Order: sequence, then structure tokens, then C-alpha cells
Amino acid sequence: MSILPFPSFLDDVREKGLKKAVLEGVDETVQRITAGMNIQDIREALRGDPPSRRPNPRLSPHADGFWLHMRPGYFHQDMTGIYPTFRLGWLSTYFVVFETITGLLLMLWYTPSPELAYGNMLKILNNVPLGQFIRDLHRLGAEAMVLIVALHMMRTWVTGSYKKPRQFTWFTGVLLLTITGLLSFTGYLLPWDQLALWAVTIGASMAEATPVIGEQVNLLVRGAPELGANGLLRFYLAHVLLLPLLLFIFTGVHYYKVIIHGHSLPPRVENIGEDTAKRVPLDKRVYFIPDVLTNELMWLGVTTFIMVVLCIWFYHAPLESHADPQNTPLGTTAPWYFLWIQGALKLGDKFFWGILFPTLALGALSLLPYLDVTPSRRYAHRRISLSVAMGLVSFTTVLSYMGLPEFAVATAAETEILHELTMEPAHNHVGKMRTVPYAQLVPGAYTTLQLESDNPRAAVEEFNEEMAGRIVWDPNQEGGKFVTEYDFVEFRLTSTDHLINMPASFRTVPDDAPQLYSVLKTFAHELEERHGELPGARGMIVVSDYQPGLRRVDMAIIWDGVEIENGRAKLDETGNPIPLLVRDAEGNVRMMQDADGNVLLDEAGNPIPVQERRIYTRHIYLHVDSAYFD
Amino acid sequence: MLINRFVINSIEGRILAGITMFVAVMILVGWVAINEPARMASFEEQHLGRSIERGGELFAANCSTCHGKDSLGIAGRAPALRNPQLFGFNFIDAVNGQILGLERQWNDLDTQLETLNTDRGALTAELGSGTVTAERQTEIATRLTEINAQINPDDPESIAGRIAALQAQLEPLYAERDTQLMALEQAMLADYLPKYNQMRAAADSGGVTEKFSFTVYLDQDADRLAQVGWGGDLAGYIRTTLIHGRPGSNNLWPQAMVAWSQTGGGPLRADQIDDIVNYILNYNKGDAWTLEDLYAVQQFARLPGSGGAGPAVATLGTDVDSAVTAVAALTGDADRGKQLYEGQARSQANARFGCSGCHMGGSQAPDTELTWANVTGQRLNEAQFAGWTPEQYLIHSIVLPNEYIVTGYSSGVMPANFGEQMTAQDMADIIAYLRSYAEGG
Repeated sequence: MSILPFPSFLDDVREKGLKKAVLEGVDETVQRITAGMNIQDIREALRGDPPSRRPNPRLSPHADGFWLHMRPGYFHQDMTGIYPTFRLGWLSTYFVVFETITGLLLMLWYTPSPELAYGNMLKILNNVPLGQFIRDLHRLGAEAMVLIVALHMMRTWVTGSYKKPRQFTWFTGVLLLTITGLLSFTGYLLPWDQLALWAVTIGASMAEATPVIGEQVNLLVRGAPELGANGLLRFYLAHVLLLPLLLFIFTGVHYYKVIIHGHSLPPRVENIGEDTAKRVPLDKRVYFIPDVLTNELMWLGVTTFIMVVLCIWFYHAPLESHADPQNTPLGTTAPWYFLWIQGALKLGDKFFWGILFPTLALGALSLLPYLDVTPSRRYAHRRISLSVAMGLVSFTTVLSYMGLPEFAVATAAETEILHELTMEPAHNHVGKMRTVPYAQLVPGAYTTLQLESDNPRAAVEEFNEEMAGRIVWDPNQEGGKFVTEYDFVEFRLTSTDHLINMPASFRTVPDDAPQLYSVLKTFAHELEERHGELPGARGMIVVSDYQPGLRRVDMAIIWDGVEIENGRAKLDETGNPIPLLVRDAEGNVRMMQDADGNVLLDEAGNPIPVQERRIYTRHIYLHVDSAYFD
Repeated sequence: MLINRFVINSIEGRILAGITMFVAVMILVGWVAINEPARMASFEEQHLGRSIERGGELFAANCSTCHGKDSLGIAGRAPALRNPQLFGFNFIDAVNGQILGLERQWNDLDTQLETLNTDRGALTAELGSGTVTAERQTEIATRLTEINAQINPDDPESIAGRIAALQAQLEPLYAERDTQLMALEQAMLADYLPKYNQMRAAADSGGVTEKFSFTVYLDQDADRLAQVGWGGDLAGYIRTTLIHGRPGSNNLWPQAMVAWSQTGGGPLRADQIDDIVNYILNYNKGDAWTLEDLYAVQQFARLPGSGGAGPAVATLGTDVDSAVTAVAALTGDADRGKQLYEGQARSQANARFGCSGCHMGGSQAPDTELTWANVTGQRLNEAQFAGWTPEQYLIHSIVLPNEYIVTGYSSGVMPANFGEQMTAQDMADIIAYLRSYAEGG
């Protein structure tokens, strides 16, 4: 006998033999861990055999265990397929866990401070093994989660699953949708790059439109009039503490409600007004263990596999240059899931469209089950409700489109063209000029004129000669002076942009630089596209050596100035653009003169007015190792 | 109807599919992990490249007005950064290194020789005092013989003999070094190794110690970091300079360098400072620096107390009236004026100006080409300049630049010490150059 007051394992060994005692011990431990299932039960379940003992041990983990108490013991056979759930609810939960794990890993390398955050991002990319991979997973997961949760809501609306008795489940769902959006939005700021700063600045801009306490709300959200150290810390804490906490709590409530009410069945299998989810007939039951469990574990593998494949070959989280509050990049947008608000803001009043409209929309959404109290869930009986749903989807899509910079934002043609060609990687897009391999960036001056002739070499030669003598008016020079066009270009490039070596003359693109040629071609094409705003336009590309392994590319557009309204050429009665003429101090139109000051006459004998020749330049530096890709 | 069941209906199928997926995930992640070192290295390079690009942009916008758009410095304004000296490239390193080693040995032997000489003196004095015992006399005599043996230059084993051997070894090296120094002369005239002449004179006139320190000087001052006694690396030196500027540089440069970093109260963020540092470091040619690079430098860094040791000549000072009289008596040479203006030639007071560094294009300072036309056509029409000649106006503007500022430009930008750096002839040449634009030059 044991000296202990109860039989010990040693007594068991003495009594039953070592093997039997160990096996029984293990069996008992397994049963404790699974809250009711021993090895034999698990084996039977995984083989697909029916349970061999009563009461059914496969239900006890649901009744007695913590993890499965949030899952029903069995499902109705009619909702285990793809339809009607499309696995969207499950996927939402998957991403909650997925984002928590990848987020925790990223937190190891991140400091929420404007001085350090961006450096941390570079460190994650450059010095942390699998750092880029984890960041890609987290970012892609975040965007997927917003989409999945929104689709989950749409599905619930379409199948009418929000109806009695699930009104409150729907309400917590709307809360979860909001929290998901905010989580994604707060996370957006953390890399502290230009994309982050300006997307969040736009997204948070309506805070100040709040009536009466707008300024206070703005300060509360951003921590200062503009986003800075305090704002970043607030967004970080909201992202890693406050919002996840709320998310976990409401996920719990949401799940609990599913247990209470059961999964709603496809509308057609129930009688109108009935809810039979809790009364699943024996022959329709699909038990969680083993069928649903193995199914979910399989989907866990499949979804993770898809995420991994996407992040290896198809998706990399963007990182633009360091956030700069002084420099607003062209074409900034809110994150795509907030584009609809940005679009709405273009409709008018900031308070109405930025605050009232989203609040009312979310409010109406939360109250949907209490507004739509018709009993039937059948599609045929819910024409209004389904029409509203589709209308909402269409409206959001249209608003989102309106949020894009293409819509109703007038940018000068010359700015747009050169920005497109030279932009830093942003929004999964990079200026074509940056993607030219370094070896093909042959120093020299090139012009789009090359593409307008069958004999490019001769055309460029002719251009060089012509320019040496041509007289144009330089409107930017105080006091004014006539210079040759060539001098003019050189003057502007050198004086304003510090170009070291201006090549002596233009040349054709060498044959071994096909990508540079392709850029020149795109350039010419873009100029042709915007011919109305840029008549007589000529594009120029000047590549010059700057440092070992560093070249500078200057791009310039020279064109005959015309009057512009909202980014488009203003037309006169005959439908022609109105040229901008050069006037002297008294307001008289200047006439073309030759070098000796004699007024030049056209064929009809009339003096030729000097049309304003305009120039717009932009330049980038390209390093041999920078490796920008499409 | 499949859509109402699991996608894979058999439990074995689901388990198999799930396991396959997990294994596939593991393999993929493993594959990514294997490739990580190469990817991280290429990202590091890529981000450095982009940092250099941004640095180029920042440099052009903020630094090039003083350091030159090609980073070769602007005479009298700020030193070159594309400068072998900044990167510690020593053009006479090999031969000077050998000399340094030999001179160290020589120096040690010299010290020993000196000790022996002192000993001998003391012993001789003792002997001469007449109070020593016979025993001590023998002792001293033995010691003196020993010492004499050591200071006998004909004995190759003695200290003096070894010194002679070292000197013989050093002779050809000195000759070689002199040849190399000759090649550097052009750069030295432009302030490279500013104390060179002083050190050379001391070395030529003096004994071993001077010679030794001359070699040390050549060894150290070819490297800017050693010259200023900086203990850290070049990146740290550049970064610190950018962060804090050079507040004390008024003694060396007419214009102090401001603090550029937000840390020091300036406009740039820490990452932008890093970008500029990376850009400047990208000038490094490693072992490939050439004499051409050294000659290309427009302005070398200065050391306190090293500047402006030129011939004593009568400079203009700030007395406009007497300057006008002096200049009026002279004929200006527009070509030399152009060279002075662009920092290619030195003034008679041995100074270099970089007028064209700012006076171009008209954005920072009035455009050179339009100066004469604007002075005669606009400035002199103003009431306060009634009766002035254009020469008078220009002299006044150059020696007292802050007295009158043309609308649109700021006061205090142009150095106020040009009067002390030029003679009447220099001024006449510069004026002739400016006037040449009015004559269609």
C-alpha cells in the first residue's frame, strides 16, 4: 500500500502491470485535456466510425471544455456546405487569429515613434529573416479581413439571417465590422511612410468637421493639430490594445449568440416565420467532432496555403518614402475601404458627407433588423430589402470610384504626365522612367521629336541646328530677354535644378537602350493624348552622370501656352484653344522679331504675335542598386 | 447536391488535404527562409541606393549653393566634399609610410645618442673636477671608451653608424617623396595641406625631430579625419557636421554652416540627414582617387590659423572713396577678372573668390550677365545713387555688401570681407569683367 492517502501510480503499476498502467494514465490525461474524449474515442472519430459508448463522448468537449464551448456540438446538414455561409464568418475569425499572430511578430521589431518607425520598417525588410514575409502576410491579411467581414455582412443581409431572433447578433456584427475597419485604418499609419501619413490624414480629416467639438475631436484623434509623435502613439495603442480588446470581446458575444440561436438555415428549408435552427432532426445532424472539425482544419491549411502563395509570388506590402508632413504627394487617397467617404466628401459639405452621412449609414445598418421586421426570409418576399442591399453595394462602389484621384480632381496635364513617368513606387505602381535598367540609362539628351519622323537621326540633327538659331521669349526672366530655345532649356535646367552637365546637343536613343526608347515612346504618346492642353509639345529627357553609380534624369515638356480651365484647354467660339500671348508692360501683344529687332511678318504680311512658350520640368536621381520594378 | 455538403465529403480526404496543405506551407516557408539572406542583402543595397537618390535631391536643394552643385566646393565659401582628402586617400602613403618607419627608428637612436652624449659630458666633467679616486677613474675611462665606440659613425654596429645607415636608406626615399610632393604642388597652392610650407621650412632647417614631425604631418593631414583629430568614422563626422553645422566657423569662413538637423534646430529629419550622408559617402572612390580629382577641388577644408598667409600687399579695405580713386587710375583686364570671379585665379592678396557660385541665374544673387545693365539702367536712376558712377556703385557693393540690398535678395548673405582680400588691380579687373557684358562680351 501506498503511504499516500490515495492510490498512487506505483500502486497501479503493482496492481495492473507497467504497460497497462501507463496506457491508462495516458488515456486519462488525454481525456482530461479534451474534456471528455479518450484515445479510443478520438480514434473512432477520426476513422469516421460512430461513437462506441453512451452518452456520446464527442459532445462532452462542447459541454465541459473551454475552447469548444463556443461551438455548437452539431450543425444542421443544410448549412455545412459552401452555401449559404460561404465560410465567411469562419474566415473572419481565421483572420482575427492570423492577424494577431503576425501582428505580435511584427511588434517585436517596431517602435511607435516618428524618428524610429520608418527605420524599423527598413530593418524589418532588410535585416529580419522572414521579416518581409510576415509583414506581407499581416498587410494582406488585414485587407482581406476588411473585405471578408464586409462580404459576411452582405451575405447575412441577403439570406435574411439578421431577422428575429438574431437581431442582436447582427448588431454585434456591425460593431465588429466597424472595429475591423478601424483596426485596418489605425494599422495603415504605423509604417510612417508617405502612403500611410497621407492616407490617414485624408481618412481622419473629417474629425474636425464634427460640430461644436470638432477641434477637440481632432486633437483627441491626432494628438496634435497634425499627425505627429502623439498621433502615431495613439494610433499604435489603438491598433495593438484598445481595438483588439474590443474585437475579442465582441467576437465572443457574436459567437455566444450563434450558440444560443444556432446557425440560421437557408431560407428555403424553413417555413416562413419559423426558426428551426435549434431543433435539428437526428438525421440532419452533422457532428462537430469529427466532421466539422476536420473540415475546418482542412480549410485552415488551405487558407494559410493561399495566403503564403500570395505573399511569396503575388503580393508585397507597399512601403513608400519616409512620411513628410510638408510634402503632399500627387494622387493621395484614403485606404480603399474608406474611399467611399472620400468620394462622398467630394459631393459637398464636409460635415454632412464626412460625419453625418457615414454615421447615419452605420446607424441604419445597425438598426436594420429592427427596421425590417417582415417575417419571411425567402428571397422572393424580400424585394425591397434585397434592392436596398444591391443599391447600397452600387452606391458604395460609385462613391469609392468618386474617391479616386481621377475623379473631379483637376491636375495640369504636364504635371500629370511627368508624375506618371517618374513617380516613386506607390499604390503598386512605379514611374516607368525608374524601371529603365541602369545600363540603358545612357547619358545624353533625347527628344520626343525622334518619334515623329521616319528618319529619326536626321530629324534630331535638324532640330539641333534649328534650335541654335530659333528665338523664343523667356517670360520667366525679370525684365525679359530673348534666348534661343536651347539656351532656354539649359537655363531653366541649370539654374533651377542644378544640373552639372548639359549635353551639347540632342541625339537619338542608342539601339541598345530599348527600355529608354520605350519610355520616350510612352512620353510622346502621353503628350499626344493631352494635345489639347499641350499644343506643339515636345518632350525631352536628359540623362547625366552625377556620382559613381548615380545618374540624374531630367524630363522637360515645352509647349505653346494655352488658356486652361479645370485641367482642360479653354476653347473659343470656333472650338480652338486660346493661345497665351506675351505682352509687354503696357499690355500690348509682343510681335516676333529677328535678332536685329525688325518685326517679322507672316505670309499674309501681318506681324506674328509671340505665343508664350512654357516649360515644365521634373527630375529624379537613379542609383544603380535601386532596382525599381513594374 | 455538392454545394450543400463539405467540399471533400470523406473524412480521410479532408485529413489528407489538410495535411498536404500544412506540409506545403512548411515547405514554402522553408524555401523562403533559405532565400532570406540573399534577399535581405539585395534589399539592403536597394534601400541604400534609394537613400543615395534622395540624398542627391536634398544635396541639390540645400547644400549645393555653398558646396557647389558638383560638390567640389566654392572658393571662399565652403569646402569640397568630393575630395580625396575627406575620404582619407593619401597620395604619398606608400613612400611616406616607409619613411615614417625609418624615421621612428632614427628618432629612437637619436634619443639614445643624446643620452650617451649627456653621460659623456657628465663623466668628463667628473673626471675634470680632480676629486675622483683612481678606482673611479678607471671606471669612467672604461665607460667613456664604451660611449666613444657607440658614437663612432665609422663603426656600422654603433648607434651613430646605424643612424648613418638609416640616413643612407632614407635619402632615396626622401627624393622619391619630394618627386611625389612636386606632383601635389598645384593642389597645395590651392590650400591642400595648408601648413606644408611651414613644416617644410622647419624640416629643412632643423634636426631629426622636425623631420620626423614633417613626415607625421604628411601622413596625417592628407586625411581630414586625422587632421581634425576625429576619433570616429567618416559617416559619423559628416553626420555630426550636418546635425550641428559649424557654428564656430566664422573664423574660417565668411558664412557659418547652419545646423541642418531638426535635432540641432534645423529643417531636416534624421532620415534625411542619413540620406545626405549616404550621398556624400557615395563619392568615395576607394583606391581609385587620382591627382585629377585632387586638382578638381575648388576649395579645400581649412584649419584654424592656416589661412591667408599671402604676400603683404595693400588691400582695398572698406574705404570706398579712396578705392574708387585707386581703381580709376588702373586699367582692368576682363579675362583675369573673369578668372577671379569664377575662383580660378587668386587675387594679389592670395585669396580666392567664388562670386559666380552665387551670382548666376539670379535666384540667390543678381545675375552676373545682367549686373552692368541693371546698375546703369536701374540702380543709378534711384535718388540715393544720384551722381554715382557704375564703378563707384560696384566697388561700394563689393566692399560694403550689406549697406544696400537690391529688392528681392537678403542682407548678410554676401561676405563683407572682400575688401581685405583684394587689391585695386583685382577690383579693376573684376569691374572690367562685369562691364564686358555691356559691351556684348
